[in-house]
Amino acid sequence: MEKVIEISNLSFGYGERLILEDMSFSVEKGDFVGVIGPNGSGKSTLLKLLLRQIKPIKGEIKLLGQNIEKFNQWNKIGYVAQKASSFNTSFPATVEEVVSANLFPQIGLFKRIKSKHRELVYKALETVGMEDYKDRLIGNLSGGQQQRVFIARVLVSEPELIFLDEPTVGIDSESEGALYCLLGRLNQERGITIVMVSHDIGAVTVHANKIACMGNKGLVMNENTEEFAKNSLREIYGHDVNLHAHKHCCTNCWKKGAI
Amino acid sequence: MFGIFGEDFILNLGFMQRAYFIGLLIAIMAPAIGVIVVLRRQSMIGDSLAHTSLAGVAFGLIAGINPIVGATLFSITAALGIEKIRRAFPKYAEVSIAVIMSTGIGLAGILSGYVKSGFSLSSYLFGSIIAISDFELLIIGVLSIVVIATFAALFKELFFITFDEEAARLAGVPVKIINFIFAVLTAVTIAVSSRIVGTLVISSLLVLPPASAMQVAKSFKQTIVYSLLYGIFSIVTGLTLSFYLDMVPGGTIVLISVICLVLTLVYKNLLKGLIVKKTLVKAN
Repeated sequence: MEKVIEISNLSFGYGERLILEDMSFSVEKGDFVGVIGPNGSGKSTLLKLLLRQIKPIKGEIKLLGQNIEKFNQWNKIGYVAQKASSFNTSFPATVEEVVSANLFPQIGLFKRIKSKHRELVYKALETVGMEDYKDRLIGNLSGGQQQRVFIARVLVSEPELIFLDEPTVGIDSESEGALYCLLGRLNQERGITIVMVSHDIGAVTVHANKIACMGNKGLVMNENTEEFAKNSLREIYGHDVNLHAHKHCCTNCWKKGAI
Repeated sequence: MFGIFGEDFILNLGFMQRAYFIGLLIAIMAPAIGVIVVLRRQSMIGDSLAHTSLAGVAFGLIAGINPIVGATLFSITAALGIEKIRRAFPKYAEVSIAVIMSTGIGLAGILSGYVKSGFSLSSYLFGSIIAISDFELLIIGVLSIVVIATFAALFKELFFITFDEEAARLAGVPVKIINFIFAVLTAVTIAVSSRIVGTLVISSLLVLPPASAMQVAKSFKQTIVYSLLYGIFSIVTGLTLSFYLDMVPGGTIVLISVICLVLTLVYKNLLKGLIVKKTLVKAN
């Protein structure tokens, strides 16, 4: 199986304090990995390392088979941030303008957006069921709708790997279910590898095929089985964990079969 | 009074032709740069660069080089300084602006003490439409056109970086280089505008047209287009009034921009009231 992410002997810390120590794992093409762990276990730090926002003290990260230091295929990587932290809601931009931004490096400097690019934007918006909102200001949409627009922005450049950082923060449970369902379909029908950091263990155990548990400066990658859910979670969180799956998932997916 | 076709008609006067030409270039350049500056929450950057420009003007007058050249050099140095300091205080953009602003004011204060009397430093505070030399026309014209062309070329990328810098970097936009270029563009805009608009008021020309535009625009593109329209209207009307009423051009232009903003706000509120009324009538 082709490896999309390979991490070997990775260590990272702020000052003297190590947050990640000698971590090794890999993610294969087509995986849907849910990264879980208590606060302070280094989930966000790991994501920052994978996006080259920070550099490791030791160890190696490879994305799509290439060392991250020399990695130049960022157009194949999508990143959906926690909505609240990343944008100014009174920014005067339409949904279409926001989504087409990810095509700018392809379009090139000095050149204008052409109809073929507009078509790609429309298709991406269709996938997330937001095509009717393309002329609306991004700030006038609900949290769930904004998050769908940001997913469309990632999809427009046809990524092979998508990172999501707690994508459902501030979103109502119905939109949340539909969002996970969309991610599941992107993973299964388009073969996009997904790495999602989440506090929502219930959702992760329903949708992910692998679960990466973080804690004690390390990471343990598990196949997502019922056995695992029962036994391992208690160990990680230090208390009994009851899983509540999102029952409404996939009953209210946006535009079923639109992919 | 002035005859429409007479020699003394405003558009037939050589010095006013020059003022209008430069005014129009500034009217395009300042609001365009201003939209990005306002959206980055750096509205005060104009003030801090303008004060540094004034130090550059004083330096030019002392050293015997053209004040606009002095202003441009000082302003670019200050803009790069702001970028550098901004990186040392991430999330506190205003710290870097305050540091450079105080440096600029301090320098301008000291240098102005050495400017020989007879040179009018005050005309650079509120601007002047009189006696723009051939050299100034050339340097302001060339620099403005370079700024406008570069902005047009980088328009898409500037939008992306301003909206979401991290996403832009991940998508492959050369964020660092474009930020650097934008800092230089802002500095040049401020420096060359100081000749007819004045250093004390140029920053408001960066902020007011975008502020008005943001009230009515329905997209980023519209925000830019409306900003330019507000900018052009304010500058052309301001220059004309300052000629006929013998007022300082900078002050006149800014007051017109403020009136535009107030009228836009009133219009928007009236419109909102009407929509609410309509909805209520419908609901009943």
